[in-house]
Amino acid sequence: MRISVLNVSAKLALSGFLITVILAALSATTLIGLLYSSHDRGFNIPEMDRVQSHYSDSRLIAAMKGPMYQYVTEDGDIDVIAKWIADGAQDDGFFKDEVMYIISEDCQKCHSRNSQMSKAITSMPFSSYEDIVQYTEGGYSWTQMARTAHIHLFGIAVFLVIVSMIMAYSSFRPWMKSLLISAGWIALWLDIGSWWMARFYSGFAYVISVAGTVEIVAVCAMSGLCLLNLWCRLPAIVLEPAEQ
Amino acid sequence: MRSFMQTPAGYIGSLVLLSGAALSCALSSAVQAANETLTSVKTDTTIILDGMAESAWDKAPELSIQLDNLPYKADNYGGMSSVNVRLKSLYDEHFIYLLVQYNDPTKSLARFPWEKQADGSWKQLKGKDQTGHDNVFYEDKLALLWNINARGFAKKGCDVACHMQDDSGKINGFDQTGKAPGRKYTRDGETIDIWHWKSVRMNPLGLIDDQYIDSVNDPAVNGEWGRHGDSKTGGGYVDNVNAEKTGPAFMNRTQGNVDGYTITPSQKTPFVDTFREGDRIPGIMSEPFTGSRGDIWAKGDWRDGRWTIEIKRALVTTGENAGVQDVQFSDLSKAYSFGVSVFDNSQIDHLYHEGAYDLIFK
Ligand code: HEC
Repeated sequence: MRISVLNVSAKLALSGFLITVILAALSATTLIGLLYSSHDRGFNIPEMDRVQSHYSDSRLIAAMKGPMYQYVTEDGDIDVIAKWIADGAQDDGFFKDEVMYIISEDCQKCHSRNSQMSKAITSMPFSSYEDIVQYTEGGYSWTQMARTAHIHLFGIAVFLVIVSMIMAYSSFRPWMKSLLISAGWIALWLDIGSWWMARFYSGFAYVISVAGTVEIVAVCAMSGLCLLNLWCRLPAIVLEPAEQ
Repeated sequence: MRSFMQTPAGYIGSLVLLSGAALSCALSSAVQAANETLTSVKTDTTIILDGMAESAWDKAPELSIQLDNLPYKADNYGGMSSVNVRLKSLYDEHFIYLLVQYNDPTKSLARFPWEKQADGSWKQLKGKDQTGHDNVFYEDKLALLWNINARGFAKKGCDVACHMQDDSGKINGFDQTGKAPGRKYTRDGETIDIWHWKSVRMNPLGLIDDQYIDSVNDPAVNGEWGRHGDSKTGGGYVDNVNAEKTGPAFMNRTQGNVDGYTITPSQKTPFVDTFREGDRIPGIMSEPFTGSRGDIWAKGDWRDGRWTIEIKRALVTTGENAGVQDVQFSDLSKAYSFGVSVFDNSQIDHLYHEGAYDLIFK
């Protein structure tokens, strides 16, 4: 069985799915570009230090370097809080005088239980030491890792198996199929595994970036190639010999 | 097309093209880091402040700013939840001019008016929210904040001066429950200029209420905390109320002026009650500020659902304390950070934007 011999309605159904996958991959790329850059619109190339910060810094610092950066008055304020965390995040004089001053000036108006600001986040108050200290652990916590990992693994597995199967029944040369299909799955495991590893060594942020890129390229390439295979005549050089 | 796509080189070529396009897209959006700017353009035409944009404005580029945040949820707020403000600027040898336009379906001028009741008594109309501030019988206002020397303003805008109640209802340790959701003040030694345009209290006199924010963060020092009017030698507004506080003390000489929700000096005459039930008398009386507080001229006009406000100020002001209270456009090669906010018939709840914008001169 080859997808190129399907009837037109089946081809339409598969094409709809593949185009949607490409759009979803583009949205994911856009989101990643927005999360790891200082912009709030457009397509952006993720900045490495922000990726690193997200997976190896505490959530507090990662947020101040990342999505909350626009609310930080001066970059030096991030260093003050980072120093406090590096010194053990104690409920001491430094916390009360320096850390709490920055948090109350820059963060509390949204991060408080009663805030009514348009962008308020009452579920994450920063009113006391106890409120704040839970965001000082470096990298992903067990809960955070388990939560994000299972959602991504289940979600990506579902569409990746479909895209891979369509690829498997395409007319391309077997080595092309095997390469792209394995790249998709291996990159997925490497990417998500490194989320956890970056806690221990921030260099894993590079693995995250490379594996993430390979993942998206593999998915888009498989979807794009299958679309071509469904609707176009392909050059002999990419086709399995039997198909030529 | 087909023959091109049938060669491997053709494939690789299109892939390279595609990824190149994607990359340049990403790069071009990555470089635009600086604040968006309002460019002030030199003019040699006299600008007439009448709330109508003459053709001289056509050569000034427009900056459009979306305001879609509110600092708190007033329980009787019926105003807009977002608004687009369009700004232009011109300058000549001595003055800077601003044109501000925004759509507002309601022209709100009925600020605390007195209304005659069925039994002949007078009642001052009010509609206060949970914080004691009005959102029903108030006036449309606009504020421009100009950085003088506040740390972080160029990045965060007005937000650097904004302090909201904490979980226990306190601001800087003072209980503010039922008093104010937030207060404005800066850090020590810092000031921010406020150009506070008020459609009822000052617009009929062609002025802006020139104010500023400093670091006062104690209500015992100033009831308005860091917010102050600039130094003045006279003028201002007072409530129009009789000694018994049962009705107005003055009224306008001519009635039926639709915009007459304040009493200006030329119109001021003692109140004589020849009115019918439902008639209204202004709740406030205004006189032009003199001195530093009255050194910005402005006229706003509401027409077909849109406010148009023309503003004029000296590039460099010389009034008392001008150095501390006023932004000085003394170096036309510099960028001046500002923020803008719209009060839709609201005493303190205001639509704002995050971050700051820059004014530059060309
Ligand atoms: C204008 C309101 C506002 C301000 C000011 C603000 N935040 Fe946030 N913050 C939010 C909202 C809304 C979210 C949840 C959505 C999101 O992540 O963007 C959030 C999320 C966060 C998170 C969780 C991010 C994550 O998922 O790990 C942290 C940590 C955080 N903020 C820290 C800060 C710090 C530190 C400051 C002060 C420098 C600050 N915020 C200032 C509104 C605000």
